[in-house]
Amino acid sequence: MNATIKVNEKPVPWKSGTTLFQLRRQFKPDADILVYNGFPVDDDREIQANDRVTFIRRGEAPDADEIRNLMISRHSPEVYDKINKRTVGIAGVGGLGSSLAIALARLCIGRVIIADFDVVEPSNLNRQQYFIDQIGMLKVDALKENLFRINPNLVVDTHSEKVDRKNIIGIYRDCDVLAECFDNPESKSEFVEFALREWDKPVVAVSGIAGYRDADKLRCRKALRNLYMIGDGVTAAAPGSGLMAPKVGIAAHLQANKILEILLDM
Amino acid sequence: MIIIVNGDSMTLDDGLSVSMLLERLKLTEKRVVVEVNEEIIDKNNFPENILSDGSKVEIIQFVPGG
Repeated sequence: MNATIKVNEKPVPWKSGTTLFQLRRQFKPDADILVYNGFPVDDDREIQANDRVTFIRRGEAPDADEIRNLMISRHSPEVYDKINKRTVGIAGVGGLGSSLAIALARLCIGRVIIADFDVVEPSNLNRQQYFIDQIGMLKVDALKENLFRINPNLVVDTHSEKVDRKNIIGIYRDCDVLAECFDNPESKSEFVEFALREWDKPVVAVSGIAGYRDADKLRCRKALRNLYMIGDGVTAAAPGSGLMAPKVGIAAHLQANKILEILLDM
Repeated sequence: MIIIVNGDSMTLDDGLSVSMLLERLKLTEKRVVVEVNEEIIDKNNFPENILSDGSKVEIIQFVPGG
């Protein structure tokens, strides 16, 4: 079989001695961003068999297929192939869940299942990934809209209901990993307990993220065989110690990173 | 009896249930997840789940915020 290369993720026969700039002239002469095997480069170079190159025109809106190809070249096909077939369940899409979902959309996770009964309200804007013109919308609908603006290839299943023992299985059965993103400690406890008893799936949960002090204490630790905990475990949201964008965002992104690690190790 | 709670040993009276342990530690049943000897315990069974000498207990506490 003849050697090939991939140009914008489409296979092209490889000819020895071909350079990056020659390919640009051939496939997308107006491209001003050149991605060579996942890394943006400026200089010309000889292309080897099996290399992947992506040509992008700055400022041009790509379609869904082009977005997919860009993400493949950014994250490497190995990473993309592993995580794109996976499903992540997010329980609650407030401060934690909305930021987590956006990180997962940018990673090109294949599918997310989101559940929350709440609507977007003005006080949410201090830390949650919604916009003023979305006030009054169901959070799951507003988030789905925002996720599609980032990654149109993401599959998003929405459930606008309160998650409890009676519906957890129906909502999250298909998930490979579960993220606990509730605000209320009783809901957190009920969800984590039920999920760990019902399934042999990893759960990434959060406790203790209020205020602004000691952000570096929000580390992720393995708490039980299938449970990862993020947060200091004690700093509760209370009068005088509110929830703020930085620590909530750090916790959500620690969740996203742990989920990525779990999926890549599967 | 001696049990291990989150890695630390505690000396307690025989016959203590998970509910009684949580009460002693001033923890709220509805805000924790409890594992005893690597088995997650259903909250509904905290009162009748009796700990025994050498039990390894892990308690995960949830506080408000998300």
